[in-house]
Amino acid sequence: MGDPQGPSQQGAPPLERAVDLARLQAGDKWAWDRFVRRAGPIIYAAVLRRLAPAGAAAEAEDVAQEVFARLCRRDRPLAGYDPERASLSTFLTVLATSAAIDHLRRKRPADPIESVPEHRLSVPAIEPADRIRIPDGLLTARQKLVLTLLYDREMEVAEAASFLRVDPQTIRSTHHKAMLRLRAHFGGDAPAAPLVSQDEA
Amino acid sequence: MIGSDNDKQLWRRFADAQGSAPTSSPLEGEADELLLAAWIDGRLEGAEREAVEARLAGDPALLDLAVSAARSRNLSAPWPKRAETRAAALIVPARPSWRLVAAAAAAVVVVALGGFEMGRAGSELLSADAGTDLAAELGLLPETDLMETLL
Repeated sequence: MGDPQGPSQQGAPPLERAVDLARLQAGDKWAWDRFVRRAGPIIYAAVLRRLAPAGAAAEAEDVAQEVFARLCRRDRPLAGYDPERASLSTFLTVLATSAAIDHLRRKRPADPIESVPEHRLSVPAIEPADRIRIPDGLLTARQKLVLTLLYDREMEVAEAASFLRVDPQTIRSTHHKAMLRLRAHFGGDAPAAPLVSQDEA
Repeated sequence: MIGSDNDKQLWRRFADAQGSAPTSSPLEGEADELLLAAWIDGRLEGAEREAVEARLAGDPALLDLAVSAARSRNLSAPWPKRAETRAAALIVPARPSWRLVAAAAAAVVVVALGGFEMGRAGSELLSADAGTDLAAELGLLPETDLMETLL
């Protein structure tokens, strides 16, 4: 951890500046109270954002408590956090979002199989010719991720670019190269583009 | 939207063959959560970044978590005071351990005894000096000197 007065701390996000991580991880009560006051709105917002659309906003407070309980479950508070790896606010947001998703998953009642209509149990028939796996190495991880974001999650280019922290043009270019490779490999008419590295893609 | 319908259909054929979404939690502990947070912050490079992105591309539940967390990253919501009080109560003020209490008590006893002994020694010295002075004034010799004189 950096010196609280040093330049790394001055450039840190507000939560990092407000929290004395060394004292917090040493179990200091004053530091914990201060952390709860500053981190509460961040954790609560992430939980609420996930629960509210599912009609479970009233449970957000309890789920946020679960996150805090988890943070001090080990021998010292925030034992699993390393400031060299990620910002504290992002780490807490991931924890809170994960807790909210788990909560919704636990809450969802499992339908007894007798009550499920038969058409929902049936597996759609897929012709063997349609089930094609992408060979390892054909696409880079970044290319697969870009296609997943654009086609499976139906993101706009700008949104995918923001998510991946790249320029929108990089998304277009990565998409184009990935499709060229797919078409070329599976009998399309386009020539295969050279497989590029992650950074190039 | 980028790409043609043909592109989308082509991708769908492969995506359908990738397998169904896992139903369990997409992350396995704090190390995974920290890794995903590092990726969202754009702090991963090279093989580490590629490994996370390969997992994201192949695990819809993990991708859902990552997208949701990335969108929530800079949000803040008014946090009920009672919730803050409950969370703050998870850590109680540290009470001094019995070892510390015992050490402090022992220190008090040592200081008290030391002071008492010093006081007693001081008063004895004072009374001894006073006796010598008085004997001298009366023309008496101390007991040891008297014995030497007699012998």
